[in-house]
Amino acid sequence: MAKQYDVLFRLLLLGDSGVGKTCLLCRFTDNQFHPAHISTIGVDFKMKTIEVDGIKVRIQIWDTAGQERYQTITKQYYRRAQGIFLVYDISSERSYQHIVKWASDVDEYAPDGVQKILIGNKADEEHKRQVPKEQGLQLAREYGMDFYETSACSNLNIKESFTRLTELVLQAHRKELDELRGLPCAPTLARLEEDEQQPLGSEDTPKTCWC
Amino acid sequence: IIQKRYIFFYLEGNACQNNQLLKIILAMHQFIISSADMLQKLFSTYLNALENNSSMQCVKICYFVRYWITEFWIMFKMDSKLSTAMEEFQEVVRANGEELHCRLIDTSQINSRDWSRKLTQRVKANTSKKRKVSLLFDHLEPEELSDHLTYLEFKSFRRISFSDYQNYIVNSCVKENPTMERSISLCNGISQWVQLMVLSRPTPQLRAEVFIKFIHVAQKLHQLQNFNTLMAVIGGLCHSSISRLKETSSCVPHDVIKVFNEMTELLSSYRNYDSYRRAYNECSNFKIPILGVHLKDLISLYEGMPDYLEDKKINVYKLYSLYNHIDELIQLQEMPLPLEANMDLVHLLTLSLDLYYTEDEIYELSYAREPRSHRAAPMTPSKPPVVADWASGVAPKPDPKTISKHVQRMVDSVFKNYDHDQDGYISQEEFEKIAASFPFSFCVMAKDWEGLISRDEITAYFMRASSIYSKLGLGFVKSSILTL
Repeated sequence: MAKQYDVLFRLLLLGDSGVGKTCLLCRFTDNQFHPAHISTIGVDFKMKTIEVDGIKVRIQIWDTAGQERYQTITKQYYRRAQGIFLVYDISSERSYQHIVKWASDVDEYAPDGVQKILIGNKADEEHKRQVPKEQGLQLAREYGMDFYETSACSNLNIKESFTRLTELVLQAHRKELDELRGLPCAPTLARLEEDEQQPLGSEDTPKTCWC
Repeated sequence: IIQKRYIFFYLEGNACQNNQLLKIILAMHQFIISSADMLQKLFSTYLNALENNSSMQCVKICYFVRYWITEFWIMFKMDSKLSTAMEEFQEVVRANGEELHCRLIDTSQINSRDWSRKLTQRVKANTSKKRKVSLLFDHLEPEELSDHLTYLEFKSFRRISFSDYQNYIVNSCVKENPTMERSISLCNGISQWVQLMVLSRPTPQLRAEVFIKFIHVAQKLHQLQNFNTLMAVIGGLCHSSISRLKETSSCVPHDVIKVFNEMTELLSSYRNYDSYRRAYNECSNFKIPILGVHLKDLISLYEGMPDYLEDKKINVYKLYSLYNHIDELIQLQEMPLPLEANMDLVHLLTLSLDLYYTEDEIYELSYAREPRSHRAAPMTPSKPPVVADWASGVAPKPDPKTISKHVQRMVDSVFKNYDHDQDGYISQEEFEKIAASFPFSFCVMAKDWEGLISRDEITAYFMRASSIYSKLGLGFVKSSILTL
């Protein structure tokens, strides 16, 4: 079966409840998700393929919507993420402060070399702004991260931030990628993939790991 | 206006025919328009119809409101804006002297019995009160633990109402949503309790025993189809504060590890909880879903589907999907609980689960039990200090009243079961065993207990232990660990 993409990456959206993570995701994937068999596969957003540096990258984005308060559930997502969006809401000082906590969780639970960027969402709500842009930039600098202010409403920086994080993940996996390009059929990264289209109950279920 | 058009559509199409759809619209309208506004719209339509002498129309509206009242009377009780709007409506109708209309939109007949029953909804479990039980964690069989955890879980699951789900979806937070908050804290409390019970034991062998016991509890929870508590227990055991304990895990037999791996696989987030979803769908009768997974579905549906379609038509399919999802959860609350609960044990567990630790505190305990590595200095802080605000902002604050209530009940249960001659004292030996059943048991007793211990002393002990753990936290853990 011909592959529609060269490599698959898993990105994770993190941040307090209500900062608009699901909105960002909806925007990016053009509201495409599987609502048909909700009870069997759940509501899950479709993956999206984008092209970076001539490489077709399939990105699968995990969202922790509604589960932020469950201490053990969210941790499940960390381990296999290759890129992480740390999202706060510019109209909520508290959500900004909590970035410190989310970032320290990432240090603790996510694999080494995971790529992160900081997102200040709801940038269209200027009249309710509690976190100045400069403050976001400063935090991003401290952590050595890129920073974007986004808005799902006005479609500001959505594509840019997703593409940027994908680029960063690509760079971090440059070595494997070069191998991938050198070989006719790419074994290394292909094995990382978790394809929705795989037949159910296929054998190579990855080891589940939670924390 | 759009809303109005829809309502009329269903009015004219005869309520009976579209019963299901009508019900869904009424149940879910709050996503689009507030109840008070919707009533206001009906009100102004009514007035228009009245002016045009279209009595047919007036009656229809009244029947519609009647249907609303009978099916969703709770809204009229809970939503003060709606009830105010309703009163205005009623007044005008009364002033116009249409007796039939008045009767139709009357809300005073909302059954007060139904109302009080709803408020005091209780789990109908066969609770045995007479039998004496052991309240010692080590004596409790995995089945007893799983049954009583399920009792508590179901009790909290049942309290979540249709509108609690709706509020959670719209506000995506648990503020002013105490039932949802309670359910989530119970889950987190169980996970922490599991970790602390393992960590409270001094040697790897003893810790492994507790670990094994919880795996057996998990198996029983699986049999009971209580996935939510199963997730909490397995989540606790998977937590890195436990999984990093290499000496402990080397004492756990392979077959137990195998079961543990099967469980983690069952609950894994892999492919959007595919294994869990399948297992869950195959279960019939009594089952408790992993609420977090279903909440995520609800939020994704809510965010992912537009409110309106082209032509500014309401996206009925969205309301329909959300309704079905919530309804499925609500249906599960009606199932009879297939087990017996002993209230004394319920009290023991309730107090045990009143936990307000932070992750860092549990970590520190874990490092104290099995230091990080022999090369590294044992107590080097591994993480930057966390913003102090976090803990209070995210974890629910312990409520002294609740803790005190839980302590009182627990002490009553202790005396019922251990004060054999009913003289108001229990022996020191027994007290120490009971105290050791709690996750705060490793908090070294400041006092040397001797001979018989009174009810007051025990109450004071539990109050102190619980409040220390809920408020002061780490400082005390440290000093007690040093003396271990």
